Amino acid sequence: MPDRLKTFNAASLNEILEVSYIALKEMTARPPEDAPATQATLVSSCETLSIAGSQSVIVQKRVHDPDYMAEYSAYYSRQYVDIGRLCTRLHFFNVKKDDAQTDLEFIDSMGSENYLGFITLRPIINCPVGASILSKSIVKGFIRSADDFPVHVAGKEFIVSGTPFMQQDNAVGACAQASIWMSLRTLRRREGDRAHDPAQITDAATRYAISGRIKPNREGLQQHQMVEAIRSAGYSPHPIYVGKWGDPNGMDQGQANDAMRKIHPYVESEIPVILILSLSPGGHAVVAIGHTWNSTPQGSNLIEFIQLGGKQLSFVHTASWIPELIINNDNSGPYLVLPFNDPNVSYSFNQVVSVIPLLPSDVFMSGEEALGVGLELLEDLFIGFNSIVDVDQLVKATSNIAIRLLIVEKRKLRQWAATTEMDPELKTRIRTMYLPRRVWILELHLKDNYGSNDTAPVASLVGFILIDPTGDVTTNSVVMFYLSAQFPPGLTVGMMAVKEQGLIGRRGIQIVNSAPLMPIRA
Amino acid sequence: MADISNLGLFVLATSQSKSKIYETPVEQAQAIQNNLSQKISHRIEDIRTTQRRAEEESPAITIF
Repeated sequence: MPDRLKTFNAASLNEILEVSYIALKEMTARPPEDAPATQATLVSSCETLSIAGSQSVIVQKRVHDPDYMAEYSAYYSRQYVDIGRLCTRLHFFNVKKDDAQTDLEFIDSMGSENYLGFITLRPIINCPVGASILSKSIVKGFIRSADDFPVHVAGKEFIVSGTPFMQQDNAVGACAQASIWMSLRTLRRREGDRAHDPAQITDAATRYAISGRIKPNREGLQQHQMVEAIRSAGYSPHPIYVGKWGDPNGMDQGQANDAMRKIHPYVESEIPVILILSLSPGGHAVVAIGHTWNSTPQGSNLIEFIQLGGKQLSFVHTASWIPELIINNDNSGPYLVLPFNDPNVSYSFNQVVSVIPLLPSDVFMSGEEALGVGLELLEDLFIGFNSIVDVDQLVKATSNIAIRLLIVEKRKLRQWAATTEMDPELKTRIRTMYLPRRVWILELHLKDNYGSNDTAPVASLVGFILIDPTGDVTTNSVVMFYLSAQFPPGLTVGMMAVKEQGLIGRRGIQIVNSAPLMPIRA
Repeated sequence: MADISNLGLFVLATSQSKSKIYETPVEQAQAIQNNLSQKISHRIEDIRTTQRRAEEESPAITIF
């Protein structure tokens, strides 16, 4: 068999790195020691794979990688020295190749369940990790922003479910471009094939505002240039400011809780969120793609929403169960935990100063606004309940509820209703009612049940409000709401209200079977 | 519960109704909606004002 495809059994970090470095040296004629500072990403990726149980690597040479080809065309093809235009791709499997097997027999014996993803090696020693996708199954926690990608090796198709990753190639872009590329590529199939290569991202970012040389782009981008690059790809970037530039201490716990409440709805909506960190000097961009989970958190991230009789009513925010975000950091690797504040690492959550979720272009209402609509509706409900229920009972009832906000596509909402046990009246209404393409859903969960959702979905949902994200942010944006008899106190049966004649308080329908529901997304 | 002035009372009335479906007169539903819309508008304007101020105060920093 020609050596374009060759399988190596490699399980330990050193074994995987050895295979990687040989492949890299073949392309670049330079050893990794020539650029030790930029090997961290490759080492981190290989380490993650080794820990996850990778056993073998197929080295696929002479790969036409479209993203690197674009970088080559825009920059490397103009250099005096010879720079390769082809890449090498490393495919990882959780099974060893038997000595008696040929490479093709090994490939044919593997299924997607054995495939751990691939790393594309650029022929550039300074930034070897090109467009790569590692399976999200190799890390603990919830990777929310991901997709299924088909990968073809010697006529065999493998499906890898994960989040695209790339190390910055600062000839054509910095971390800003890499974070935009990772975000766009993740959304590409879901939102209709709008994704740019790194060179196109730089061109789009610098179309109207230029602060330095475009190629090479070693100076990076400013936030407004990043916003323009995202906008030009067809998305609706929504910058949110959560911290202060240059603050040496970063956010304190209270500010971090506030920031997490703002970021959380987008992460839960499977939307990549670019985090801008204040470092010294300048800033750094990473992409939040998921989160870890703590089923028994020490403290709660509370949402205070109304005072009745001089007493404060508060819900628990579901961000309370999330100790850390999981990020793709082009400087250090994919699927990394971003600690809150760890002086031993270079990047921490308390350094975040602004965030940019890539909203779909038909989502006009931000998460902060949708939460505002939902909380005002709940306040109106509780003012009414207070006429027959003691305030202390209401305080206790709300403290037992965890709220979560997320965007759900209409088809997924209907699919959830079709496959989840619930009252037939509620099921029929959700499956057949007129809905926008997506809805914001403000969920009310039983707090004691919600924390167990890490191992398997648990029935915890006792109410929800559907909000139209294309709405004009008035009560007209509320499409329907549902409350089970479990919450709040005072209800003898559950009920739902669906907008009739443009009015949400016109018709109420009793829901007899109102046991807690399985969550729409665990 | 004849005078239903907020969604809470509407929900309670639905729950306590002898029939499965409970309806409020259009005028009453409109009054509930108008009242709630005003409160939502104030809250949203606060959110947007904060956002605008933060944007104005953010320096142009290079991200690299």
